[in-house]
Formats: sequence, C-alpha cells, structure tokens
Amino acid sequence: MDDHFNVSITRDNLVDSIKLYNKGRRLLKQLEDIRCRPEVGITGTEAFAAAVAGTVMPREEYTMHLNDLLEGLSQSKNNVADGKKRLMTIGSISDDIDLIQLIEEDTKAVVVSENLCFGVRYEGNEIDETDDPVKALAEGYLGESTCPRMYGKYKDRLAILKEAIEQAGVEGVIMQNIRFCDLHGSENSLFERDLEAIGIPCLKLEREYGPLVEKGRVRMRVDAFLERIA
Amino acid sequence: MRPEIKEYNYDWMLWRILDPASRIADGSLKELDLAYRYVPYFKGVLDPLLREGLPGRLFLKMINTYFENLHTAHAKGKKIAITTFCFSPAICYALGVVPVTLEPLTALGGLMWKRGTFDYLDYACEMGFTETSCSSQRGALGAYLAGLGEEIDFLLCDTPGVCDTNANAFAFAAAFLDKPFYQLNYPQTLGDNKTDNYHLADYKEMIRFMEDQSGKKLDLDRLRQVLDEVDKQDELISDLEDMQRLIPNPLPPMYNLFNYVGRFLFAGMPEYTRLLKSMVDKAGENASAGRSGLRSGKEKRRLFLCYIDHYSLNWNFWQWLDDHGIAHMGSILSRGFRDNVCYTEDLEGSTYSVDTSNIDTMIDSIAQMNARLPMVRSIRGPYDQPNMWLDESLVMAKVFQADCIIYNGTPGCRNTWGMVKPFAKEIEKHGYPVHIMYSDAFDDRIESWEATRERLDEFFKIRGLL
Repeated sequence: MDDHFNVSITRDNLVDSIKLYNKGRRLLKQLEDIRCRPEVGITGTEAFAAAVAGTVMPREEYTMHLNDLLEGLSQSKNNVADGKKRLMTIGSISDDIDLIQLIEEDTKAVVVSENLCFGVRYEGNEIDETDDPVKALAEGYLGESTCPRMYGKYKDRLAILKEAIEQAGVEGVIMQNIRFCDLHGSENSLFERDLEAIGIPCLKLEREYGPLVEKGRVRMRVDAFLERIA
Repeated sequence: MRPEIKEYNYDWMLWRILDPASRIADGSLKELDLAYRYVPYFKGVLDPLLREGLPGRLFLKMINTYFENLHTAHAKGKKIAITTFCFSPAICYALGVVPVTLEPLTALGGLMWKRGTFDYLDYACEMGFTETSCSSQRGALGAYLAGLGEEIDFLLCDTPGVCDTNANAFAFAAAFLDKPFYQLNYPQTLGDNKTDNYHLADYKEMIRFMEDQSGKKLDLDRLRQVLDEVDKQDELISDLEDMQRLIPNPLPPMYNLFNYVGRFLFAGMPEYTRLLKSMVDKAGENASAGRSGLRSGKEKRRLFLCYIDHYSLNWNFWQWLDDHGIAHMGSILSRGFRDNVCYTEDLEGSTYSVDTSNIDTMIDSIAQMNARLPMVRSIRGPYDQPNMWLDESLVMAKVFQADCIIYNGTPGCRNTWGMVKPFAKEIEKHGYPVHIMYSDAFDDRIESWEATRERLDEFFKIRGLL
C-alpha cells in the first residue's frame, strides 16, 4: 500500500488509527447497551443508520457525531419499545436501512439488537492497542470469530448470539442473508435449528441485495412472523 | 426426501451396484449379455467401461474396493473422514483413516442413476444448506447429513480462501453433525519459501489433529510406503501426460476420469497404481501404432477442459466426445504438477517433489503435494495472477496442442463463475475458441444433458471446429 498509493504508513499512524476506531467501537457498544434496556430511546432503524454511517464517513467526524447521539440518548425519556415485540436482526452484509424500517414501520416491533456485517457486530472486535499494530490488526481480523468466514467457530458465534438475546430481551430473531452468501445462508439455518430448540422464534429471510427490491414479499413474511410471536 | 430413498444408505447402494459390476467384468461375453437382461438400465453405465478393456475393469474394481474399505472401516477399527477433491487422501491412508471424498461420490451418483443425486442435493437444502452452494459437495453430503451413509468421525478440508463455497460445506457439515473439523489454510501465493513454510507448519498441525482423532501415531514406515506408491503413480501419470501430447492422442477420453477419480480416492494405494499401469500400457500400444485413443481411431479435434467434466448418466459427456472424434486433453482435475511433468516449465513454483529420506522431507513432500491439488494450486489467487488459472490454462492448451477450450462447472462455483467471462475473453485473444457451459456438472435438472449436448454441437459447428 505504501508503494501503490505513494504514502507512508508508520507505526504511530497505525496506533492512532487503531485507537480512533476502538473509540468508535466502544461508543457502538454503549449504543447497544442502551438498546438492551427495557425502555429503548432509539429505533432499530436509527441505530442501524448510525452504525452503517461508520462504514463510509471520515472517522473523526463519525466518532464526534456518534458521541453526540449517545449524549442525547442518555438524556432522552423516549421509549420506542413500549408495547412492541423486541426483535434482533442477524446475518450477512446489509446496508439497507429500509429493511429495518420495514420491520418496524407497522409499529408492532422494534429492533433492539443486531449482528450484521455492517452493523454493530464490529464493536465486539476491539483491536489491541498495546501490541505491535500490524500484529494486533492481523489478530483482530483473522483471530476473531464474529464472521462465519472464520470456519469451525460456529459454537462461539452461537454463544455470542445467545448472550445478546438474553441481554436485550429479544423475543424473535430475523435472519437475513443476501442470496449466494452461502456462509451466512447456511449458518443461519444452524442458528435457526439451535435457537428454535431453546424457544427463540426465528425467521430466515434470503433476499437480493439492493434497496428493498422485494419489498412486498419481505413485508408479507415479516408480518407473518410478527403474527406468530404476537 | 422420498421414503424409498431413505431405505438404504447412499454409499451402500453405490457399493451394491459396483460389487456385482466388478465381478461381471471378469465374466465371458455370453455371461455379460445374460447379466444385461436382468439389469438393462445399467448397460449404459457398464458397457462404456468394459469397452476400455483392462483399465475399465480395474477402474471398476478399484471403486468397488474403495466402497468395501469404507463399509468395513469401523469393524476394522479405522476412522472415517469426510474430505474434498482438493485434498490428497494419501495422508489418510498413512494414518489408517478411510477418506470420504465428497465430489467423486456425488459424481458417481450422477453417472450411475438417472435420478442422479437429486434427492440428496435437495435434502441438504431441507436441512438448511443453501441451494446456491456447490452441488459437487452437496449431493453426497445430503446423504451424510441425512444419516444415509457410514458414520463420519471427523472432517478435513483445505479450501478456505481458495473456495469458500467448498470450505463452507465442510464447516456446515461439522457443525450440523457435531464432528471435529480441521481446515488447512492457504496463502494466495505458491512456491515461495514463506508459503512453503506456512504449508508445512499447517500440515504438521493437521497431522496432530488426525493422530488425536484416529488414536494412531503416524507410522514413518507406513508413510514412506504410501509416498513410494505416490512416487510410482506420479511417474505413470507423467508417462500418460507425455503420450497425451502426441498427435493423435493415444488416450481414450475416459482415461482422464480414471486418472483423477483414482487420485482423489486412492492416492498412495496400489489399486490406483495398477489402474495407471494398465492405462499406460494400453495408451503405449496405441502410441506405438500411431493410433488415436478414440473408438473411431480418427482424431478430429483436441479439447482442453479448463475446469471440470460433466457427470451425466452413462458417461454421456465422454461418449459424446468419443462419438465426435474429439480427444480429451485433460482438465484442472487430471493434472499432477509433479516435478517430472511436461508442462511446468513456464509455471514457476508450480511443482512438488517426493523425498522419502527422513520424516521431515516426507512431511514436506506430502504437504507440498497437497498444496498442488486441483483448485488450491490453480485458483488460490486472482485468475490472472502469474502462474494461476489463466496462465496455467494457456500453457496446457499450448503444450497439449488443444484446438479449443471448454469451461464447465456448477452454478454454485463462485470461485470460477466470478471470473470466467474475463478469463474466457483473455483465452480467446490467444486464438482458442472458448465455450462456457451453463449446465451443472452434477445436477441435470439445471440443464438437461440433451440441452447441454445441443449447445456443444452448436459451439463446434459455429466455431468451425467440426
């Protein structure tokens, strides 16, 4: 990268960047904790939008806005979860904020937790700030088990989900994957088998990538799922 | 799954067909004709094999022995491991483990039954494995997920990063069946010291895993025995590949299948050596007489398959080649990449050697050999990276004097479908007509053999090849 982009990536640059991104991760963890409370001050749509923004915005600016959002939420008396089913969304890559909006728009449900590639899954993957930065990054990205691409770690990922479900009082899990993502597609089936076995209702939703290209079909399936858990 | 399919295990049904078939092969023509009256549907399966003479008969016997080993493994105190065609089973035999190589087992179902492995392909999806996954694993895997196969003890694979779709099949099966699983990881380069050392360290760790699972320590004498057998096999494969360069090619089209099915099921075992020896002898006779391996004796065109063959009922694909006078110049599956082969001069770092001097050289040899199995050698990095799929295909086409190149795979194969069009355009620039088959090599419901055949006819006609 140094050669190709004619830049100099120094140890200090890397350490600073790791610290900055870790700060964002910790803020996202705070956001997740807020969503776990019985009274939730932010919709799943808003929280997901905040998480997705982190994948495209300049990091310093993003961290500042995320900080502001959390300060506002700490003073908020709002409860968007009142009388609604508490849902979790998991699965493959999705930057489709409309999908979460569709789940929440009929006012029967609120998404209080998630484990998506572009969502707050990322906060669980904090990089060591004390080690050699390249080694720490390699260990962070290759040693963590949060993505099904890291084969042989299914039980670890199931344990993470179960913990999040318990903490957030989740009453149903919507598992989405983009068609042809076999990694999430097949792992979602294993999650479905094991979560249903302990009484957690699950909906498996395979879909095309894009801004709700299948809105009618997805809505019908989400409605049916909400009827099931009502 | 249909209830009648659940009555018997998949691997047991294959064995029950192959066992009498391999005995029939020793009978007289009169006995054979009589047998066909009772099994008319299998005439199309058996006849093309028997027409190949001794190699066809030895192929049948080898597969039969494989299933016999599988079905008697547990009674003999041996463990059974699911693995992939990208992984050499030689280490399994060195440790007394019986390999279940999913892809050839799926292919056998497609070649022997009109229903193919459809029920098992679908059952895997019923159990949650994605329908967009690769059918090459999914067919046989469906049977093992359904408990319609010998009990599996553990799983081995070596494709993460090279083909995540393949690797995911093994990861899913391990979680679904709750069995231990080991994955070898491959860097995207090959032949440099760093990569070689990585392969070696990872492979040693896998041996420790296999020792734990099998309850047996790696016996050095047994490992040497297996590698000596591999050495003989490599020599014979090299002889076959040398002869394949001749015009006309003295190898019948089906020899390619015999070659790689043997390697994926029986590398390092004498059954495979015997088969190869018979193939070399027969091809040598043809070569001495200047005869083509085709039944017609007239070679019209030379075809290189840059990926895999098509496993439709009754060996339809190979029969079609034979009927049209098209010599099979090999595929990604049939290349060995031993250091004595004729096509690696322009593919730097692509070969391995076998050195049985001591334990370190033996493990290094087997690790390097394993890193050069199909896909994990040729498609471990971008297709146009030096010495990878594009370069390799061009070298093969040149060395074996191919007239055209065909791509065939499965719709689930993102590893190749993701790049096959730019790949084909590049190949065409070098003057080789390329046909991309849209069928599924393991599932005739995606495109019937009849439709596939029409498209093959069309390609050869439109491009002026026939």
